[in-house]
Amino acid sequence: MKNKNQRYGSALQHGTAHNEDHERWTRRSFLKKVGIASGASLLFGNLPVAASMRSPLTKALEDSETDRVLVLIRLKGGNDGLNTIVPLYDYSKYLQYRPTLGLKESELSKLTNAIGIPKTMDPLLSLWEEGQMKVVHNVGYPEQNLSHFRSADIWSSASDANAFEPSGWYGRIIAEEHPDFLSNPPIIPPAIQIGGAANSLFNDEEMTNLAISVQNPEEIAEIAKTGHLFSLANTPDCYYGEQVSFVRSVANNSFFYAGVLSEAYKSSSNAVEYTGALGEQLATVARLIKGNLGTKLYMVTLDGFDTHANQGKDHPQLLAELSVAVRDFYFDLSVGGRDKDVLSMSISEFGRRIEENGSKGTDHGAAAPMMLFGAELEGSGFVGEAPNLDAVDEVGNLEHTTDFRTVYATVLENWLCLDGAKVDTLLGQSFSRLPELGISCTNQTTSTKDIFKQQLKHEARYSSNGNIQVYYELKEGAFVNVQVINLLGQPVTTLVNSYQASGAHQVDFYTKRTIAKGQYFYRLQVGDRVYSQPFLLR
Amino acid sequence: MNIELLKIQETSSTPMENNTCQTGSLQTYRPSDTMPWNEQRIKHLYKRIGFGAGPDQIKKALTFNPQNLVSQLIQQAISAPIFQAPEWLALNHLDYKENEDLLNSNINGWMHKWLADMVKHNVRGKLILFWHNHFVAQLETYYFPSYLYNYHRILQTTALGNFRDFVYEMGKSTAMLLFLNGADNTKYEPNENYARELYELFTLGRDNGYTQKDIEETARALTGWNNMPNWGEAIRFSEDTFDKDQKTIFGLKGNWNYDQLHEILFTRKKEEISNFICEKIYKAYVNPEPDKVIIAQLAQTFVDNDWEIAPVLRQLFKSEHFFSEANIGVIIKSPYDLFLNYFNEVDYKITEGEEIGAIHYFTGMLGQELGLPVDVAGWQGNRTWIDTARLTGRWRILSWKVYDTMEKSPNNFTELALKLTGENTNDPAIVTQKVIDYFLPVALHTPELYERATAIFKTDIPQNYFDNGEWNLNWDSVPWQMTSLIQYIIRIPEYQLM
Repeated sequence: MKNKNQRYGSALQHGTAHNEDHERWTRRSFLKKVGIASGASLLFGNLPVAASMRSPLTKALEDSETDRVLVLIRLKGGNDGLNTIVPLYDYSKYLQYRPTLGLKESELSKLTNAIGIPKTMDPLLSLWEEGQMKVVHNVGYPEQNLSHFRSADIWSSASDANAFEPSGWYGRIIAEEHPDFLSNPPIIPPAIQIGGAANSLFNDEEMTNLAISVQNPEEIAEIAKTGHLFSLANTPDCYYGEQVSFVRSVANNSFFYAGVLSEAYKSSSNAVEYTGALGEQLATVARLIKGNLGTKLYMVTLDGFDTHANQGKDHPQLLAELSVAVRDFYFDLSVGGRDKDVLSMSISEFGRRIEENGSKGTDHGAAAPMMLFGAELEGSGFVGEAPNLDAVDEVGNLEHTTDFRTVYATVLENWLCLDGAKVDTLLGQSFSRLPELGISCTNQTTSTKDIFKQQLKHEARYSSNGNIQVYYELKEGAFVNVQVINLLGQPVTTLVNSYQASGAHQVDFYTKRTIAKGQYFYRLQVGDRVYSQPFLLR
Repeated sequence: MNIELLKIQETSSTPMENNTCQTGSLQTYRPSDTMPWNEQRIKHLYKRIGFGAGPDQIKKALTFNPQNLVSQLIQQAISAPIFQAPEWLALNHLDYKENEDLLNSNINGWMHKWLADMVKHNVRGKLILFWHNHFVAQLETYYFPSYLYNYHRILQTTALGNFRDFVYEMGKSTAMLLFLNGADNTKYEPNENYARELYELFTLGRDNGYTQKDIEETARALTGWNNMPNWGEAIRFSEDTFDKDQKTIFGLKGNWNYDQLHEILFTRKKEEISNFICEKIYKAYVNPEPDKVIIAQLAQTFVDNDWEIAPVLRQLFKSEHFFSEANIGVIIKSPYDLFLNYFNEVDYKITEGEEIGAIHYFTGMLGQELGLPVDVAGWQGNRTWIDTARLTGRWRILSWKVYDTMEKSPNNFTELALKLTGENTNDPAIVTQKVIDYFLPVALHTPELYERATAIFKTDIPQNYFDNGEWNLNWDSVPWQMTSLIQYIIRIPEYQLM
């Protein structure tokens, strides 16, 4: 009974988390919602309209500065770290906390004398032995939040637990690299998410999700195969069928990423037969990487880690699925010669309680290990301080010893090769780096890049008389063009088209009777750089 | 009964290749095992005759006899209240001379009132939109409040009235006289513009039973409507500019004037007019692919009822033909269809003022705004509504509106989910299927599509809460789950159809 109540409590907790989300949205202006408003996870659903309208011929294929790719493997629900990376160094206490769930020695393989993994993870042993796997111990953040949703958002935004940051760290990178994303999106999808609801990781400040995301790996594979969003075969009969075909073909034409996805997919193949839900996702990712799509970040998801009950049966199976899929993924990549370019990293919103509950499961916890895989890790091993089963918080959860943002900061600087100071800006504060991860940018052909070099302050300002000003600060004199465009990307009016001196500028957009109220964008071109931002005409 | 049905279809002059595409006759629809009176047909009726219905209305309609329901809807449209004359009606150009803001606000206010009325009395509202798109007069050309009032009043009072009176009144309205140059058409300098459109667009159809000579002579019969002492005053007839000489129209000689011309037109060209108008009604309300046999039968009804519009609508909406499966889901929603159906579907009450203004903006951006039909021929509808920019525009705008609905009234979505499933459930697949089938005109044809949507509906809730049956429609997450699902549904191509 007790545990039943506990689980009910968890459900209520979800409710609370959702209410918090709602409040967060309520506090934000109308404008801020437009982005999240398109949060439905259909492949093209999150992209701003201009992104789906642009012709691939309008811009030459953008050069990617590095061939490196980061794959985030999300273990959804909160992975039980103690039953993944098992503390043999404090084994009796571990078994004491977990009389039924604790893994017996016969169920364990040893990575070292101090650390074991469940035997179902044995498929990873080859990677471990080849020096391609690192484990960061006991990762978390201060003031752990125990709601799935809130904690997942914290991992995405990389903000402090008490701060509500709508954008995701990767969304911020994309927005900085493509300040004119709305009117001139990159030719290559900057990020692809397969599985799970559209993640806030890819949100920009306006909560526009800048990634392509699909729930179902078949969906993206299908599109990649056919180059179509919607199948034109198998349509219904009669005039209804003709109308359906018509709308489908228009929808297909609106999604220009279909072309690059299809090209990458068709020019590559899988060297291994993947199994399981995660395997299917990684199979598609592998083909897109091997087909040189150029997308830098992929996110895949394995659900089921919220093991409040029957963990003994489910959890080892999930880890087996994870292990087999990762092993197959790297084998597949190595056949294409791309394994050195791909770093994979497991993330999860939290770990689980040290002590098992009464229904042979574990409740929401705090710190947990992260696993990294890749041929460039310079040897397998452990990073950070292993969990101390006695150092618990008031709920009985592990106190973290490594902040997840130190891992992110290290990966951003030493894998994706972003400038160090800018990584700090991006994460909002300076986190220490983990050189022990073994990754570096020294062998990369391109040096660290400064994506922030042309940052320019600009915003829409609302005056009390209903007029709107576009405000911007020029660091130096430049040719400036300011246009107002509507939701469909059509220009409404040009406000500025001339050379302007350095300093602050403000241009009025008068609201005339012929211009209807609603959402618009301004498109600010300074020299050869373009910025855009939505605003609301009230 | 089936034999009877086949017999009727055999008489059709346009035999269909595929039996499943066959549509019934104009005989009264009687629910049967093969054509049951179900939610799908009820939605079909509501979406076509008006702008859709909510779950309660649909449920209630199940208990009605379809014939009675159609009669009732049309009767409600006929007896819907007519706007009272606004206080500003008497204001003249001098009153507005120094006050352009007042002019703008009176016009904007009336356009908003028009749209709000279209939402509230949506069967008549849809017909007014239809006739507005038939008797096109662009607001820009007659931009004066009293002209707008008079133009709209004719639409509102005659939408279900007599078509002959409609044409007669429209031709004398200042808005039309300005838009199609009737005001410039004098015995000294005849202007053919209105005469041509009267035949080509309003009554006969292009090159259908008239000659260039007929147009020239008709223009002369229409002269005299030139007396406008001041901008803002109604244009009146003046003997001075009227051409009193003899004209030959459709082979008839006489000193025809405005009244006589209309008399001639509606007695000599019954077949052309009735077929042309009934085809237009048919394409707008039933199927963009016209069925000439059905249209001819409707045309006969039109003539038999001396140009009364309501009997044609009654016959059409009560018919087996209208309710035939092959006519369901074949119309591409106009921007107004898109938004107003959405609001009705989710039981969202539009507040007058800001939200009405927002609809103007949304539909305008997508190519349809009251007062501004694209040209004299009106919006062409069907596939012209959609191209890549406007399809993605539909997704984007409606996505925002779905989110906005959740934020303004989160309970709407929870209640909708409960109503559609009939009771609380802990199976997300059931909810997803009911919601999809509710929003789309025809069920999706593969189970995979429902599975994908179910995954969307689960949003970010860990799978175990579905597996152990703990999740249900009372969860606080449901409004957000419904938001995600509906945002997904509106992007399914079939959602653009009704």
